[in-house]
Amino acid sequence: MKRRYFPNQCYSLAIQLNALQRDFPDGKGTIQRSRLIWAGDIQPSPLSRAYTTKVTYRLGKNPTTQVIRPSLKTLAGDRVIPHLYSQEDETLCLFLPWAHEWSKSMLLSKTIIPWACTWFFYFEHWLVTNEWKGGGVHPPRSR
Amino acid sequence: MVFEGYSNDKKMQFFSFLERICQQLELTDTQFQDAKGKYEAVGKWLSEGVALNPHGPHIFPQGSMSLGTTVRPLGQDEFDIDLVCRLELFSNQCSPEGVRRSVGERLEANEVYKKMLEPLNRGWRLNYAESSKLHLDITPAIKDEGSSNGGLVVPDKELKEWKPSHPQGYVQWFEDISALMPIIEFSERAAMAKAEIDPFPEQVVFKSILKRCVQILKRHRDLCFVNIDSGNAPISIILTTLAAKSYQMLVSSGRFASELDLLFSVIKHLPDFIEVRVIDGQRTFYIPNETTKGENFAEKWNTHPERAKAFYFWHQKTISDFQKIEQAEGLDSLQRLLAETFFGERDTLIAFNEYVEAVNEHRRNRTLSVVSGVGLATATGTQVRSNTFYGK
Repeated sequence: MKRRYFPNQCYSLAIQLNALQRDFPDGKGTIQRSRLIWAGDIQPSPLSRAYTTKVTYRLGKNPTTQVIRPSLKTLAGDRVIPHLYSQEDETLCLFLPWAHEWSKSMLLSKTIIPWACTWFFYFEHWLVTNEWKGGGVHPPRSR
Repeated sequence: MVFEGYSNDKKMQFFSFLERICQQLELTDTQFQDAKGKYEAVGKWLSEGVALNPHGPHIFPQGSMSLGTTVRPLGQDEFDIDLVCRLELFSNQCSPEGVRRSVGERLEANEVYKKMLEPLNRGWRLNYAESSKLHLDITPAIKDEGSSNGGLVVPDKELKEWKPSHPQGYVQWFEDISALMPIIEFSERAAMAKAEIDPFPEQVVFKSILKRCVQILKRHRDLCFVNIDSGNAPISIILTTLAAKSYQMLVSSGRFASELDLLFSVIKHLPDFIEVRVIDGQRTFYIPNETTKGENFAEKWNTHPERAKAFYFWHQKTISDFQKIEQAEGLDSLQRLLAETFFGERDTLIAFNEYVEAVNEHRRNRTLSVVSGVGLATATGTQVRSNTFYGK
């Protein structure tokens, strides 16, 4: 079957994990039931911190990216950190959910991990300047 | 040894931040050309005066502008441009104040210069309009008849005498040392130039390590003494001379793991080149000017011991500030420390913003990639697809 070459293909969890291990060999990933969990250190530059990050992906759903350590909240002090889905569990907003920036036909290793890497890069700059230089969209605030 | 814990990648990145910041500190080419145009115009005006014309006044830069070690004064947009106005035919027998006055009088004869003129102990200052961001300090100088190597003497208004000076000789001395090539095992600069994977920031052309070192020391000094004890801050010529002597000794005697190691060693060994002699039970400090016989840059330390103390205090602080930087975690901490201790908020911020802008440029052009173990890079690795950070 050459199904995986079709544009609307869906990469299997095994292929996703394989690609992650190839591109980021220092991380560790497992597939449990229909869920892929990958964790590894992401360091945007040599003098940046290494951020231990967990990516959870249920086949066909939007992956979630959570920072295990260091605590982003501690680093940010009492400020609200931009581009987080949740300030509480520190999940990163890496793509527009409706704009097809991410789809199941994309590899996590080519999208989510590099995006997280740039996120951390802008985050460290934001910590000093309070300016988010990475662009992005904030959802309208609900009243 | 500081920075021992740094990997080569870290050294390279840190070194390139230093480079970017130093570029912010110095006179730009445009400012340099602007200054040159202005002082050449002053030179022309002086030489057209009846009184000075026979003396063939010739204006040229001295100090940091001629050494390539300019540093913008902290919190200001203005540069001091130090100039010598060499006058022929006058002799040591002439009154120093008379020669100084003759230059001032000619400047006063020009309506424009007259409004900008301010007297200095050794000459005159022209304060240009704020928009040009510079002022010119003009020191008249005449040939030193007692000097065998082309030295000059300059008038000192307070002391009412001629003081020996050899600006061109000093530049030559400094340039010769600056051109000495160190033996480096890992060169941050070469690595940046050759790297297949370009870590950010991308390669930039460096000037000599010695010159960068002097700029770093001068700005660190400015910041260290900004609010306290500023009258006792070590003067630039002392920092420049000690750095050159330290560099000369180190480069000719050893090899270095990296350029950063060399830079740090130069700084660490600065005090080794202060001669301390005990005369009549009194400690006296001596930092000879190698190009002007009898000139001791540390002369004032011997009448104002608090200045010597301030130097040693500052030097200790430089070392411990480097140690703090080595312990910094994250680019945010690094940026904060560099701003607080070495370079000041503004110039550090500009350099870091430029760095982020360089990353953004590659992100827009889709030439940004992520390499395992390296982080953001260009050329190879996993290309970063376009994305939009979402969420509040």
